[in-house]
Amino acid sequence: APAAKTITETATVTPEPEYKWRFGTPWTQKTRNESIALFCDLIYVYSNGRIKVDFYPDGLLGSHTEIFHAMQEGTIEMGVFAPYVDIVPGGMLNWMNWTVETYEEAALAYSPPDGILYKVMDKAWEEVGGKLLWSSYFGPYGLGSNVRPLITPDDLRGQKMRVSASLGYVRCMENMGKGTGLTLHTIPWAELYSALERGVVDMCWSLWPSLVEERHYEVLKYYTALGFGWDAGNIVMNRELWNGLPPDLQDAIMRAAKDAELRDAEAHRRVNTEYKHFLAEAGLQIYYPTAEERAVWRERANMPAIWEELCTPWLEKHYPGQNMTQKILDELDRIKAYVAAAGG
Amino acid sequence: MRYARSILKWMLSGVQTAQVAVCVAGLIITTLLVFIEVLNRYWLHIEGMWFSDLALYCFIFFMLVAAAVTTWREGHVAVDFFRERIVRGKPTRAAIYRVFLVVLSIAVLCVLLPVAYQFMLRAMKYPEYGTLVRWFNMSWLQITLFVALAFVLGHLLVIARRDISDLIRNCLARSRSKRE
Amino acid sequence: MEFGIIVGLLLFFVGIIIGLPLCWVFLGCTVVAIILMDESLVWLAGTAYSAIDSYILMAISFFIFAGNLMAQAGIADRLIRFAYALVGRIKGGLVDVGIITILFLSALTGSSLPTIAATIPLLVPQLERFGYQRRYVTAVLCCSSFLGYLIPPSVPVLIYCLVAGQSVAAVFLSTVFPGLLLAGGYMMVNTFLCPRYMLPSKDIPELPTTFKASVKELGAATWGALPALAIPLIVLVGIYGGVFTPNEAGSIAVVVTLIVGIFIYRELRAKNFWTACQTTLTTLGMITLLLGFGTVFTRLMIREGVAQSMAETMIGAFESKYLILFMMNMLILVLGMFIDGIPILIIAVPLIMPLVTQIDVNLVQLGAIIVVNVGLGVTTPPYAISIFVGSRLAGVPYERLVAPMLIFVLVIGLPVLFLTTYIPALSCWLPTAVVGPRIVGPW
Ligand code: NA
Ligand code: NA
Repeated sequence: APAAKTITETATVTPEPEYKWRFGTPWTQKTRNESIALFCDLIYVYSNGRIKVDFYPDGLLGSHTEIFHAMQEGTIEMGVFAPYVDIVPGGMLNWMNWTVETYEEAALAYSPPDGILYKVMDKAWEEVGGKLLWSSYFGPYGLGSNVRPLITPDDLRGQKMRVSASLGYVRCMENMGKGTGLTLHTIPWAELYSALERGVVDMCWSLWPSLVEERHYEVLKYYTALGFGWDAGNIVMNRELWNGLPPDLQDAIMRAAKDAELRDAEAHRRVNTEYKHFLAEAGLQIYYPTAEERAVWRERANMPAIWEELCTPWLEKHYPGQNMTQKILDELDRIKAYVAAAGG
Repeated sequence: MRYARSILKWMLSGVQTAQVAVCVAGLIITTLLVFIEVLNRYWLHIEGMWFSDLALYCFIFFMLVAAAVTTWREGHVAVDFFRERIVRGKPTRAAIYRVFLVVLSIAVLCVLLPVAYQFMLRAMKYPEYGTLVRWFNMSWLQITLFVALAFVLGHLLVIARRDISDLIRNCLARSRSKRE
Repeated sequence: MEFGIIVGLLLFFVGIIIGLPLCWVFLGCTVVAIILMDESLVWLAGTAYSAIDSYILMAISFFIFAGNLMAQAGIADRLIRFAYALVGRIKGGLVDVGIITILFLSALTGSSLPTIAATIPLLVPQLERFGYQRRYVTAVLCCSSFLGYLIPPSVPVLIYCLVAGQSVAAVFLSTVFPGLLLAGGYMMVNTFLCPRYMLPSKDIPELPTTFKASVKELGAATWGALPALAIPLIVLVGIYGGVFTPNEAGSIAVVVTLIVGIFIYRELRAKNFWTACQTTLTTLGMITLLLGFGTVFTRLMIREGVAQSMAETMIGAFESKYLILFMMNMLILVLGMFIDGIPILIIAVPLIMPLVTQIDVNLVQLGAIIVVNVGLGVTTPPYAISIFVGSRLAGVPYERLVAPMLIFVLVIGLPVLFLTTYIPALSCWLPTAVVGPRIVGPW
């Protein structure tokens, strides 16, 4: 961001920063990377030049797990991560299906310091040596198909769907597709485009930015904006380093985090609107289900059982005897009601 | 003394056989898992989305062990053009050169081993379980990296010992022929 | 550039020249550079590890395994007899068959290694019996290997499109004509070059002299090769028919080879199965360390901004469109001598994009130029992944491969690169015809 650059230049007060860190991301994600660049610049400004963070986008510092391990070791101080449960055991709480559905809800659920998902995810990151600073949202997940428009769960019948190794999403799809003959296949992300093009699979889940930027719309006929999941990338730093910082620097980082998060959500919301128009013009048949139709899918997903299977054991271990699963679900319901009331 | 040496030899060949067996098994299991995944998609339809994940874990594991196997088979690629020029027809010089290269390899690897050790410690501190293969701890693979590199070092040391005794034998033979 | 990096690059050459195994060269010069710069070594292990953690590498290992099995199961013999009956009279004909084989196999995977991994064990020992020098055949196959990047699907194209925001379908198609041109050019050069690399061999079978006998031999050879031909056929139909992914195709090739070798030709016994496993393992173990430490070396160059500063000095100074494109090609060629293809794409494309959009070059064409160039990097020494693997698979010393390969690179590779650069129709016509002018844009 050129605007951010000038801020840095004018803020050159102290000649040599006390802390020089690296921020790594494995991905090429235009909008998110702009927000991260701003975040790094803001840290410099708000810390009065005492912390300087160099941003390495597009996998320059390596793959996702590579940067993650380096963050744990402290050789790369900060990064943006997807908290897959193999590397972050509590990570499934970041993206349980059918919870957060809009940017308004996300702002309340994921925001530091009081958002309920922020609190549990920070705990989840603490367990693996990370400190959660803020989250960046690509937005809602939908379902793409090459066979037919997906209006009810029965439209899944007989299709072959690509899934990743995210167990929560897999369980959710299993439940929604129960009795329809839907089969799920793990295919590496890098092979998804060719697999859809050649018909190895008929279906996948996707997001507005992935449809456009990763060109999934070229190889998909139908897309249902189901919003059955919410994407949130976690911006995290090494925990030990965080704990060793004086409070004023911690404040500076969290202030930068807050600003970056706001900018990021705004930018993604705008980009998603642009992408929707672009995709409609490009000939992708987009279906926006009604509230009733979404309720049918949601019912089928049988989320309470998935919470019980995947989340409760971890939550019980870290919040013993507090019935945390129910507390989170209640709080998410409260947020949903609050946003609905404010919107209506 | 001779007894101890034959025990060592026996142990070395045991280690080598075990490594080869592990690798061949890994290669075959990986192949079958991916193959079964295709069968599953069209015919079997059993609950087996974890096949491809497990295949990748198997693959990483045997690839790391294979690095050790290749080392004692001396199968690593090098550019031999220059070396052949300067050692051609000079067995002593060739022996010295071989010792030089293997010692250099050992030196380079010795810098890496502590790093791999740290990598292993971090992996043990933060176990990482497979998402679809939930009993599989991926830290085992990261520990394997260190173990495999340690085996590579072991094999390099064995090669170094062989090359050094070759060199000594060469020098002795030369001095004997000079005396005669 | 930092002092440590300069020493590291010097040691890189010294290490290669003195004949230290390449994996230790990569690791050694990285380590020395880092120590001289007084930075942390900790990331080395994680980077080396993550290089092995790859589905693409898994596909490569399957194709290596399948190739070795075919060689052991008598499948290779029959395929060659069939090819010989077809093209035995043409000068260098069997090498042409190798090029065409690579062209077809390129359609299977998006990377270069699986194709040579499958073809070298299959073809090189056979062709040697027919009098073709081992190092020549290997060199041609290695040179052709990057056709895997140009015939879709293609991993580098996917990455280019991600970074440059272009249509995958369009850029997939943009490299097809340059790819065919390369294959044709290679076959042409082969006709002239081949006789120089022939050795007298007692094993060369006599071709029948009468027309009737020729037809009979061709018939017999075809009949014998039918089950063997089924293997590539199943793989090709499976991938193009959308039955399985290229990665899965590798394992299917292995299984079908086993079935044909055990039950149809009945030549695959426990003993030669074991031999195939052993050969595969030694190659894979070599690849583990080579790729692991090669990635470490590449990553260091990126972390320290070596490539970035080269791009700025080389491209930034020019204004003419033709000169900028020329310097861009030079830059990628030079990077290709030291860094692997995919990292080059990731570093160079974002650096090049802003400069090139100003000079009005079609971005689909740019994709074709860059992917052809990055593909050439697979074959240009000293860091040439195809030479490393090819030399290992064929048992030919690295330096013996370089000379014949350079002939192909200079006489065909570079001219095709510059044709792609200066004739937009070569890359843009096909995508415009198929996916439409709206997606491709003006050229
Ligand atoms: Na290809
Ligand atoms: Na190269």
